[in-house]
Amino acid sequence: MAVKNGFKSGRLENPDGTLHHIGVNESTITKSCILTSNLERTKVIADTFDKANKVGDHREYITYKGEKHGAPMSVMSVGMGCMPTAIAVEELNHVGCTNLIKVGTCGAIQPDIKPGSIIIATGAVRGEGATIEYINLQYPAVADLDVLTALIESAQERGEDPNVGILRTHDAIFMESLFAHGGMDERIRPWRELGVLGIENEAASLLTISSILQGKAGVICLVVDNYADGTSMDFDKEYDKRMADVIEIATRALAKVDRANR
Amino acid sequence: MEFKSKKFVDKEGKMFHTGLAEGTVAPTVLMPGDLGRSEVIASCFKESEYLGRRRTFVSYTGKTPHDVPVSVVSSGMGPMAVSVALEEFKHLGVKNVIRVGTGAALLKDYKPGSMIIATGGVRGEGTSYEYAPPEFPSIANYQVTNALIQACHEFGEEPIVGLYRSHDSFYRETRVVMQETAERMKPWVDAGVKMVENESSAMFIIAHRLGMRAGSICVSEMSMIEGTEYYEGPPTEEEYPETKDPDFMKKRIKKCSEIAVRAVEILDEMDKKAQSGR
Repeated sequence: MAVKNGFKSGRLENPDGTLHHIGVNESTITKSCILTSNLERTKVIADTFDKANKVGDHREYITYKGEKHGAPMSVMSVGMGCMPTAIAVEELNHVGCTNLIKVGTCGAIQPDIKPGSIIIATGAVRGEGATIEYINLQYPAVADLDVLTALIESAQERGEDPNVGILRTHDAIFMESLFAHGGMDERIRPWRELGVLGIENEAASLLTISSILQGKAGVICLVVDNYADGTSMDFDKEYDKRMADVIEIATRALAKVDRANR
Repeated sequence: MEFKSKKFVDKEGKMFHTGLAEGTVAPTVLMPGDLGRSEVIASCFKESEYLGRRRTFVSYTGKTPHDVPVSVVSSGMGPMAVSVALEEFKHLGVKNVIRVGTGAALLKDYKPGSMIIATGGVRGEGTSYEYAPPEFPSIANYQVTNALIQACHEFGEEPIVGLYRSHDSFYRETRVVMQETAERMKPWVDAGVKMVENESSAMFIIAHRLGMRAGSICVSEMSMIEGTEYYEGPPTEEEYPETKDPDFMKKRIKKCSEIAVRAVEILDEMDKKAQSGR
């Protein structure tokens, strides 16, 4: 007798057969998808694809489907924070989209990781709320080994020397950022001493829930600020170019994972 | 400031608990939980020297078949002994630790003797919380993990790769001694955790804090859920007659030891390649 998996959610559909929140289904998404927090960045990423069609625009989920590096590939925005990320991972799992790489930005908390550098996550500190509704804190937010290895290889192929390590995922930007309330230094010091490289908003929920649902997920970030010395990158001169580098690494890695797990 | 304890030595200047002296231990240490298994692992070295035994730490040092320095130090059972060993290793210049052990599989289609390699650990033990808060992830070093996977492939083994659950109480989580173990295990089975053992989740956290790389390979010695309603695979005895060989598990542990020793060489090759690429 097969026992019901306690983490298997019900499939919540719209009348047109798309999944309730993300607004896409099996016919409008691929097995491999780039996720990004920023809605506007979906078009930037889709424009790098060999072909891409906009297939969804519901709530914070803007979706393009196409092809890149010879692999069927999609890109979807997930909005900010753990809740919309958790919903996306759940609904994408229902439609067979299980290879996921998040492209984003983060603030470094180690003094030697300068703005403009790249961080690839081995795992994440679960400083957000969504995953705690799934499983207790004993369970680690760990990047899928194949995705992690593909991201590192793809970065090295482009001559990059990425920082590889742990990110902290949090739930409140204005408690931990260059624009935070007072007391930020005290908040982040323990994480710096624990060797955490940077802080962002979605990695822990993506990695934990993907792992529980037995998908494959990874995270790559462009460092835009350093919270240790208060510096930021030159957004006018550097940001577009470096984000394009990160997008290229992520799509290369995702194509490798797609080919190996078809 | 570097994360390092004060150096705690005995009258002879050896590390207080492990009894190991400076300059005797290789940069890479293999760690079985079982004291008796140190000798089995050392027998896979090309040459080995017995360093001694103090408390639960039975130690040998030597070289792999391709001349990479390697040591083996047993930990004894549970993460406290692992924490003591790793802290003392830090003072001896150890860079890599690989647990070579046994555990109970959480697989729905369990195959006895499978090699299971950790990507991370569920922190069901107490020691790691003295080193990092609960939301901090216990992650195996990806380079060590990839070296272990490659070594398995060279031996014609297809390992199972995924999360372990590490715990502190054998008699609370073992099917043969605790009836409700299956219920207790269900969330971990559902979440895809592959194995239950004792030491890895703490080892990964402590190694991370000490700036060492750590990984784990374990042989599944039994299943935690076979015979329960959660199990979907075939009955072991019918499907896997080789397990009736009284030496079956001994042979699998020997194979696991050979794989781990080969992984030490692969890790060394990977490091040299990375250095020459710079």
